[in-house]
Amino acid sequence: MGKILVIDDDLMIRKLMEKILVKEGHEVYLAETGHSGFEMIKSKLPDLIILDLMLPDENGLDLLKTVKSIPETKMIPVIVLTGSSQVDDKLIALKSGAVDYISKPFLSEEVKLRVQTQLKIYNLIDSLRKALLNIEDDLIAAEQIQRALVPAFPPEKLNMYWQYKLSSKVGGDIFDVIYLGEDRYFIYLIDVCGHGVNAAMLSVMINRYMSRYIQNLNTSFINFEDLAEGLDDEFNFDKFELFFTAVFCIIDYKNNEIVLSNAGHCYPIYLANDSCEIIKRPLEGIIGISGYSGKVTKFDIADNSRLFLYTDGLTETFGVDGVPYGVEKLKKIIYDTKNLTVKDQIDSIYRDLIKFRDNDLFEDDLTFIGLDFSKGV
Amino acid sequence: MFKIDCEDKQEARIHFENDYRLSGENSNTFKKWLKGINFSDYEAIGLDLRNVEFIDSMGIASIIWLKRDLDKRKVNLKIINCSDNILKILKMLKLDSFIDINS
Repeated sequence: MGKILVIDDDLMIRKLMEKILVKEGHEVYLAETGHSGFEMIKSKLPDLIILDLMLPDENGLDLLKTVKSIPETKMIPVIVLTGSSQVDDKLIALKSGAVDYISKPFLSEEVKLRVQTQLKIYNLIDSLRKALLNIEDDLIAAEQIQRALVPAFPPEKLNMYWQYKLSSKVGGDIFDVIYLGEDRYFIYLIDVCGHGVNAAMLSVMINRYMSRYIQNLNTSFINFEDLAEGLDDEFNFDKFELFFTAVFCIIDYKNNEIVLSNAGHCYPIYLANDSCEIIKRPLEGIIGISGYSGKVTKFDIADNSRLFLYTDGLTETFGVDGVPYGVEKLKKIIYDTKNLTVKDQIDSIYRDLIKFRDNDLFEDDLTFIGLDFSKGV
Repeated sequence: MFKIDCEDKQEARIHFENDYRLSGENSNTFKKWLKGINFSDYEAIGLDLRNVEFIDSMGIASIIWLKRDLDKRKVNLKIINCSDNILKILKMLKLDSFIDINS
């Protein structure tokens, strides 16, 4: 049932329409002129309008165009009433936004069916619109939560800079940097599969798990095998039907070394001694299906070196020609921009990525982290 | 969008329509479709990716879900005819040690 406004200067038509529609359970309003009809549209905001095109004070088509131009009323379906000979008017009315027409003289059954059909469509569209608004609200909330999980700035001793961009669909990128004590820092970067609230929720759970795990450590060392076992158990694929990739890194200034562990994540890139290396070992499987056992690789921190961590939102971004950015292109541009500060380097590569894809509306979250190990910085 | 063919009652093959993108937009539809199939009737399933031109993480999650489900039913899963790009992604995630893959 709905609120229906009938605008027609013919009293007989108005009364007949009222009788047909009230019998169907609708709430009916009647207006005789274009002016009074428009006032009623604004005050009653009906669910449907039946509009005669031949009104005494104004052309019904003009009123239709006005209704369709106002944000508050443009969604209201309008059925026009026309004389049987007004073929052109019917077409113009449909082109101007009317959803249907009824030719005079009409049968009551025709009016009932056309009104019922249009109200059903209107209600469906309205439900969809409201559902979309709810989804948008949920995504905004998910984005805010996810942003709150990543650090606002790095620890003082680390010369670290990042670009962290969430896609409109909200992916599942999170990272953190935690001081372990004894001049050791732990960095993790995680990419949860999928988008939206589910991915964001899992990101929150992983973040909480990692915080608890680090808090419960009694040393400044991390046993990656133990971490892998715990993560695989806690985030088993069967629980959430989602998986995530991760790269874990310890910057150990005490022993002047970097420890890396990789669970199906994008390869880190290390820039040192005038060369740029894609670190492909160790590479293990994703977390949740027993693919990650906590293998690590260790190497000394070279002076003036840099380490780059990123998610596939960077390398799997597609250009206008349909080709992905790719890790080799990333490696090359990291090398080509090595003389910039790490901040300028990250910003410069980010700008290159936007240029590459021709816009900054990323389909996936993008995280790009750079660490500079120059002495005296 | 997808169909299952069975030639000898023991082995069935899942196909996708041309230029299919197995991604977050349709992975749930794919999973729902998979849930409607009684895989216990078969000994092995071939997931034919020849027509899949793109796969994202949610598409991969739907394949992992299929693998886990088939494992419980003791039905083998083999990925067949996947493109070099998709193979690269599956290998990067080390899924080749979890699922039998024939490119």
